[in-house]
Amino acid sequence: MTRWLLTAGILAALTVIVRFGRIVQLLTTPSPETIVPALGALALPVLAFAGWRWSRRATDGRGVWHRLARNRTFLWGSGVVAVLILATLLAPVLTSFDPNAQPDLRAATQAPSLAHPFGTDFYNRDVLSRVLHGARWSLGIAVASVTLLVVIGTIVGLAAGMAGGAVDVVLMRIVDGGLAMPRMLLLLVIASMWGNLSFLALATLLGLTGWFGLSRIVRAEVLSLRGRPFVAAAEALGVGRRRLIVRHLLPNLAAPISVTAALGVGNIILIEASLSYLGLGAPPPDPGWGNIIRESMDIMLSAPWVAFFPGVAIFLTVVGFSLIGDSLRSALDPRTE
Amino acid sequence: MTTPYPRGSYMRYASAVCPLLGSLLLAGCAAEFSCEGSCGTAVITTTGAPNTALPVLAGSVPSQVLGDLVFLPLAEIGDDLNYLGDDGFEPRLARRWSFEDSLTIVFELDDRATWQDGMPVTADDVVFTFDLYRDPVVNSVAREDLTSIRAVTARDEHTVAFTFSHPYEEQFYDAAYHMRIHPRHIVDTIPRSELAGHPFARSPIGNGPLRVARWDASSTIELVADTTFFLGRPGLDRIIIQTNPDPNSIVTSLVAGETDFTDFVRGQASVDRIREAEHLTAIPIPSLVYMFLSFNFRDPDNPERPHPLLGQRYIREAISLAVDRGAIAQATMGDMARVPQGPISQANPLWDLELPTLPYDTAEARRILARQGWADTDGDGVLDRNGQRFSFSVIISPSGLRRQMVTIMESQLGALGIELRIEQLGDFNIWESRSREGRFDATVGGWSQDPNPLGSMQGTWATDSPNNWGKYGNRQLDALLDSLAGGLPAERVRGTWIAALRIIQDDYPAIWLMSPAQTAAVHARFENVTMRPGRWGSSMWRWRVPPDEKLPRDRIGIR
Amino acid sequence: MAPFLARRLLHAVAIVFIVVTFTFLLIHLAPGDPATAQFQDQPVSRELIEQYRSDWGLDGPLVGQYVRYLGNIVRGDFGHSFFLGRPVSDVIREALPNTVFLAVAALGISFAVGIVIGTAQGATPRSRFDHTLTAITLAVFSMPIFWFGLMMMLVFGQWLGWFPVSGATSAVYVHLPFLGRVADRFHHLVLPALTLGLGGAAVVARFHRAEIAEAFSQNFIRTARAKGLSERHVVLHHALRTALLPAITMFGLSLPILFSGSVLIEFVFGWQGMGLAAFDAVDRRDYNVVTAIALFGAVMVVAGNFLADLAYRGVDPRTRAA
Repeated sequence: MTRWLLTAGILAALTVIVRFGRIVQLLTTPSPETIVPALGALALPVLAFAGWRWSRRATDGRGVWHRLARNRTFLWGSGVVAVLILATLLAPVLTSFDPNAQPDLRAATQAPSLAHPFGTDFYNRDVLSRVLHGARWSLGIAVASVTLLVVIGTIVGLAAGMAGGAVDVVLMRIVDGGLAMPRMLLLLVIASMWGNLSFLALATLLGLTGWFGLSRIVRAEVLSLRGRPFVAAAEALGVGRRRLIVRHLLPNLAAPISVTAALGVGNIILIEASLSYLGLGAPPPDPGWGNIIRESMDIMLSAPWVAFFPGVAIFLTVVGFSLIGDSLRSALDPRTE
Repeated sequence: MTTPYPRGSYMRYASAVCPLLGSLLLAGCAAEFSCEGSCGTAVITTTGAPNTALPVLAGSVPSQVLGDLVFLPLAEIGDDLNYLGDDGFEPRLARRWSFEDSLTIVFELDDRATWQDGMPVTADDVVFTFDLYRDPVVNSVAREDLTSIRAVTARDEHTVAFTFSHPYEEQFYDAAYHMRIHPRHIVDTIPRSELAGHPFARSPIGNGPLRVARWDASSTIELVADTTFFLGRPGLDRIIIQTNPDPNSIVTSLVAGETDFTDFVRGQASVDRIREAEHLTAIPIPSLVYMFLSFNFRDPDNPERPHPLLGQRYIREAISLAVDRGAIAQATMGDMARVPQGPISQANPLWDLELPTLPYDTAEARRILARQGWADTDGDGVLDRNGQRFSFSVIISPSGLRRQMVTIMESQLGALGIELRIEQLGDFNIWESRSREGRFDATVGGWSQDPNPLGSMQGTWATDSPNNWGKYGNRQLDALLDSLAGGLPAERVRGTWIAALRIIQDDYPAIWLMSPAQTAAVHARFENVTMRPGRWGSSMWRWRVPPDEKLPRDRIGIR
Repeated sequence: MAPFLARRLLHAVAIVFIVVTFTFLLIHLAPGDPATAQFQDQPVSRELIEQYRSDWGLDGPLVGQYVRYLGNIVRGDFGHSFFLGRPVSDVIREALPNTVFLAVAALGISFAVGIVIGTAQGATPRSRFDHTLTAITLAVFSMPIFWFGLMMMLVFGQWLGWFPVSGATSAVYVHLPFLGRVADRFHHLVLPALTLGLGGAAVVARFHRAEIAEAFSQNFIRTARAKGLSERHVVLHHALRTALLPAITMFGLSLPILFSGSVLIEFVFGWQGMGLAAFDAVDRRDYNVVTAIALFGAVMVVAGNFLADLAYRGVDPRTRAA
């Protein structure tokens, strides 16, 4: 952890030095869109070095958090994700180009160069800038829909596990049906028939079709917890339902839920990219990673870089979240230690 | 008849009808062509799939092409697309014809013509076909084009007379161009409303050079030559039509030699790949298609009211001035598209009229808007006036070309503080129905014109015409078009067209984006390759492969 | 065993019923229908569209349509494809063999490659070799499968030109001699099957590695090693055998995943299977085809689960009592 923060601090400082001109430029055009990333970029090295100093003092400890801080898998995963999130937030600092601007159409599809590290696309838009801004759409959708699916999945799982009987049977049959639904086909039908889905609609759609697996896990966990002495005792003592859930069940459910959530973000990013590739993603001209790939199909042969870089971005993000999920699973599950 | 693009249209390609060596022979190129056991196989790949083989039902290019290979008209229009009188028309099912009086044309059918089940093609079939095309239940796209034909009657088994409601120059064209003859003895047994879903629509019995031998669910269609075809044995044994939605991989399979022909190679990079391949020929073809962005004159939420923004002429003018059509054409189609000065396509005779050029002039656009009080007062980058934002949406169908065009427009308009919101609809049908019902601010479409532009013009831009999606209306224009339809003296036609088009130009009902020429690609081993605008299928049966250039697939033969 | 079977069967039917109902509602409530889709680009009168609706039984209350539809399905009649004008069963009969062919090839690659890699990793845990392979499988696992397919197509189809870029067979397939057909099929199969198969192999390897590692921690392995058996023998005969059990389960569960993946891969490679048929049908609002394919997908899931269950019970004595 310590070394990681030091590396991060050095990288951030380097970025500030290299892009100092751009930061100054952003600061002189006052609008929240420009000032916030610029200030953020300036604050980042300071924060990283402060974190490094702090973590050197507060080292050894116990508990999940400290175990994670020493877990290489977790550090790699969260490192990748942190870099991505920061790059997304600081996009205006890292690139000088507007993702939707089309400077001089006649010079379109330039190969990667110093000015355009990822090249330019069919409309001569800067691909690096589009990938960075596209992250806002792709990551945003993923986080929003995972939040939704966690909420629904947890509630349904808890309800089924707590209520039992007919409620349990009905809920679980619905879940079975949901899991048996060919999801890609279902999404295809919905996205294509309603067309032009907004950010919220798409996030909701992905969330609503993604909670089945989690609810099953939560239910199983609830059933197993209720068999455990401490929960059984609390129930026998007449502890209220709400208190039982909040005090005893939810803390123990945190582990499986957070693992599912971490893996879910990666999964949703893949699904959203696939839908966009089939033509059902972010409305043009706004970039999303899947969209950029789709829009590059016509020039795939003459300008393969346009499809290549967003693919790498998707792939790195999914790797990052998978690593986090895997390490959470082993850190939170005492049996594997 | 006007059908929405995509629907290919092609100009004649300088044909290799008579190779120099061949003309040394006495019989020249008319000599009976010998295949030495097997004639060739042509593999065609297109982006769209046909959904019917019956010309009367065909509403899309792929379906029309298929119908053209299987069914014949009475006479085929010439490659110069002349539609006045009968100049250039070649005999097909009709062997000869005569203009009996100013209201009657009599066709004499070729008595060698038979249906593919052996039955003779008779005058009854022609009478029946006319009825079929005019039937509102069948609702052929050509229905409206036949309104001037009052009756079609059989004089005897091989003689049929067309009577017209009034004398005009395009009578022969109307009688011969729109209809391909359908077999009465089969189609008459099928209820008209079930025709589209009937198996006959996919395995028809035609009268043309080829018949449908196989039609897979995956839309691979195999056509096999009718060796007893009365106009001569087709130059090919077999034509296989397959579809692939990805234009890039069509080009790759052409380069790899897996495909022999595609009708539409899009983008400069793809055309270059075709030109680089020695075994391929790129064929540029001017087209009858023009593409436009149509403004809605009415409020989409309440058609009683004018559109709050686009209902005003200066707004439409400013938007038109702010769009660099040349850049859009260049970026999306390379050198193959040209910018029209009205609703006119490249291959259309009106293209050559002297019309003022609609300029690209952002400074003027800015001046117009500033004069009317539009300014960006709240600093959000979009112009506003009295609380109204200068923002409108455009609906498009899921087509790569249309998406590219509006994406560029969005950026060009954005530079002036005009917000264009792109609404890409899930599929073609939703886009089409929303356009037809007027539920849009702006919509991007394309029309494929007939050789005679009048019908298309009246059907799309005259007041209350069925395809006038944006509810544009100008009585002066209607009157001019009506006078053209009523049969003007030849010397006044040109001036009237110019006057009509200048009215359209001046009202800015749409932005005339481009008329895309198409590039077809064909394997170089084929001889006799001719294509005319509108229908490349109609002459394809004459293509042939010289014996020494045969590929393995050319040797399959007819089994 | 019999009551178990009966219960599972009932369960399976219930799930399929839920899927059919849901799909039916979903597409009938969506805007647009096959009557408007039929006339791709023709300006059509309202009357004609109404006529089509009544001919195809699309008029009247939804409940009536639904009951009619269910009744037909029970009799094995999936109706007509509106667009293609032929029975849905024909469409499926033509598309299914292609999908099965691709799926079998991909499954074969997944499990062959996945189990070899997983075993090799599991046998040498925490070695450099293990870490490298973990990184590779994680990478493949994290790629969007369509993008992986596009890159394969770009490199091996477009640049190198080794394999055809689209379709399940060439245009003249039906005219080829027998051996030519076989060669043609496999030539077209390579890229899509590798894409789908390697994607699956990454999943199998990750899963299998954990199983092998788990097997190694158990007593009988220690016993085997203590007996002085060669490491090779221990891995192949003891650890692998134990770990194959979960792999069988996984095999059953992979069926539906392949089905989902195949929508994208079939789209990328223009492979004329169920996935592409589904995509086209959705585009054309071809209700009956969409519902039939959804039903088919659900049956695959349920059957996969069921087979996995059965196999598990057959192989593992511990589960028989349960």
